[in-house]
Amino acid sequence: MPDTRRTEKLYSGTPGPYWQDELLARLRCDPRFAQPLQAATTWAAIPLGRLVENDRPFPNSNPSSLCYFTSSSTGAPKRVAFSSRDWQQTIVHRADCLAELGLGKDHLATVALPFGPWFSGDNLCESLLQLGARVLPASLYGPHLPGMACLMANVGANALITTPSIAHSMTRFPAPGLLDKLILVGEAASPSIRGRLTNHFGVVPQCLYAASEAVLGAEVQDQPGVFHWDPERLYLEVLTPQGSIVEKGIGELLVTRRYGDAMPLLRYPLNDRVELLPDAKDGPLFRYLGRSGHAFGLATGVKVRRAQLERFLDEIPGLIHAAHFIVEHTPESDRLQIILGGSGPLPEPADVCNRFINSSLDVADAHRCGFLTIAAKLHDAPVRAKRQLRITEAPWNL
Amino acid sequence: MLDLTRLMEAAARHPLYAGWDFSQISCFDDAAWRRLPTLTSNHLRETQPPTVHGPELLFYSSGTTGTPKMIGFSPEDLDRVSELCARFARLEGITSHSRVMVLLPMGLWTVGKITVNGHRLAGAEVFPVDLHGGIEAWQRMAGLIRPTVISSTPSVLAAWAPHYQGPRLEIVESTGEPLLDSERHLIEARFGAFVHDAYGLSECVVGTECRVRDGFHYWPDATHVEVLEPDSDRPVADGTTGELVVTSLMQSHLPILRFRTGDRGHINRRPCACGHGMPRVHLEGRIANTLKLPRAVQLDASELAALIGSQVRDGRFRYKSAPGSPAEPFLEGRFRPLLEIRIPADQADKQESVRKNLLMVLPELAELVHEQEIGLHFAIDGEKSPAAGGLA
Repeated sequence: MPDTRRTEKLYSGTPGPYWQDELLARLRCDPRFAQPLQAATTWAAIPLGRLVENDRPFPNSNPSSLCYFTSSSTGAPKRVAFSSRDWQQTIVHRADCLAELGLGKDHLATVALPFGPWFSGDNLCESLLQLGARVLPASLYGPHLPGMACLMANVGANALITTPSIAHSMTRFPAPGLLDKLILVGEAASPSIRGRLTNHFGVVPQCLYAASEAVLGAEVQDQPGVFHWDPERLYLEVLTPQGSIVEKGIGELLVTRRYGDAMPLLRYPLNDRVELLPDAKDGPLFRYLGRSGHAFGLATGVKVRRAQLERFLDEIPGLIHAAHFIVEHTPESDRLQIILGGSGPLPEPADVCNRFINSSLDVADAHRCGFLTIAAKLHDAPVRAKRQLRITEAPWNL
Repeated sequence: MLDLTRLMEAAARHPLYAGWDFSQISCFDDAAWRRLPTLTSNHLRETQPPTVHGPELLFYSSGTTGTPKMIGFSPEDLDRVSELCARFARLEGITSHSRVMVLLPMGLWTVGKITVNGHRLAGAEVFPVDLHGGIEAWQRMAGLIRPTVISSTPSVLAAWAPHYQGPRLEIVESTGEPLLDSERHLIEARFGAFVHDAYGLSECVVGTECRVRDGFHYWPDATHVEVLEPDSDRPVADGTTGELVVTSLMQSHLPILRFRTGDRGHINRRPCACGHGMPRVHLEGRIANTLKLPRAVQLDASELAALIGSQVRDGRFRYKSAPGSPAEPFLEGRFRPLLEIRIPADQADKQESVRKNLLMVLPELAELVHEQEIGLHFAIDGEKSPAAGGLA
């Protein structure tokens, strides 16, 4: 059922979650938020959020109990703190998402994720226990993957929760018995990877969208990339390229979370591009479109975005674990060097260059017009839980 | 914690205890309790767990006694074990001002999970950090976290200690494997903090050291400890050394009753100088017929004990081989096995003659020591030894 209280707010012309008054009243008592919220008398005036800096102490009234770090895919790792109450609420939120994906007491689930210091496999294990499932907390270490596949078969695990990169790495080993559920977390899964995983594991993968900072939602069945989110816990908006914040449409995702004492999230940008879709009969939905943000620019004025690079990497045969794009601007032309580390049969460098050139009309145009030269290098690299993407843009040398 | 009646009810339903007669038992002092058989590591490994329904977390033992064993915990079991770990933390002086970096394996082993949960219950701010990445990664995480407490295994701490760059810590906790004296001194010198060692197995957590560091305090409502003759189920006289046999009052999902630890030790019920009234366990090493040294050399433990005993009264030894999985990949090339021989202070002058005799009578040991494949270290009871460590 659509959330009528939320739509009432929408139609009344004062956008924002119906619980905004309660949330803002709480945050105005928090010294970390009091000042920025002082001037914001309406929801629309709330500034963009950010994580509390590492060296700022948490208020004594909300002691943090457990701390993890972000995976640093957007820069330096940031601290992600939970009070005991936050931890419990996150477990319940995540458990609800896992239940939506069909996990429950009939499953013996292997959790092949890092348990620290990055995002939390631990919280996921506790969510599974909450659903009555049996759990094998396998953690993640590349050399142990063959052993883990054997272990899964020995204990009769019928569900696997891991990242797309790790699941794809496991296709090198015999399938660990018959899986009933394959849940992917931590990074986006391209259609080609989904197809390969379906062929190997015999089950269609489903995604749980959860960043280090917040649980977002569960993928809707038969709609890859579309996620259901819970308006009782979250409020999602997007920042459009024009700079306005809206409740529907395409832009950078901004997350407000109703719970969270140690690290409240208020209009927090996750650096992801999404499309907030019209509410469905089961509640609000969004479509994941990739990482947001500018990656580098080319002399012809072409702006290459991170999402574009990630789509290009997803479509390369083999599995890319690390990618480094080095852009050098010279008077003659821009020089782009693509260094890819991966496993499995990798394509020839010339093929990689051609794929990048053809990844967008703008890039192809810059290349054909002589403004861009591209070179590629490929090498074997160890398996990583999440793909590493580095971009180095040398200063203009005109 | 569980009471004995509930524990025995759970055990009676489990195939591990088929044929055990609990009918005449109301407390641990009953003769019927002492007539029960004991549970061995092999028996635990070979007995298929019953098919269970409902929530369960599957862990594995570290494989000290052979192939790792699968050990299932219900959420309630984990809560009880975590509560015991919280008692350890409070005894050591962990408070709500403590920032604890837990540098332990977080998956498959219980130790990481219960250490994190225990410190949270004690009120500390906890940062779970897995072992991945080795010393460089640990140092980087310590820079981000700025911990006041680090909890890890002796091998990891001893390997990191010479490279540690950071503020003095308040406490270092070691767990998961034996802590040798030389390792303790090295860790304390380099981290600038008091080391609290804890004793426990994947099957049953036992106790921790107080500031006096005279044995491991244990809580009788959580762990029942008996000392039996190593080759039989007969108890030894109170205060006498034998094999430690433990019963966990924390786990009902996989009940652990009268589990033979393979560790030698004795119980001390005298009040501790720290003021806490709990009894203490004193560990004296593993019960092993042979020590497996590098290059496939096997040393008869009784022969070694006899050689030491022929020259010093009450002399003891402890042997620590290279750390096993999961710490091993991150310590490769940084650790060598260590044979530590303890000599009572009143016979300290015999240290050199013991060394000469050992190397003369055991040429294979002499070769390994000479070629630095193994460290040979002497510790004098009641005296601090130099920070030699088992580092390569």
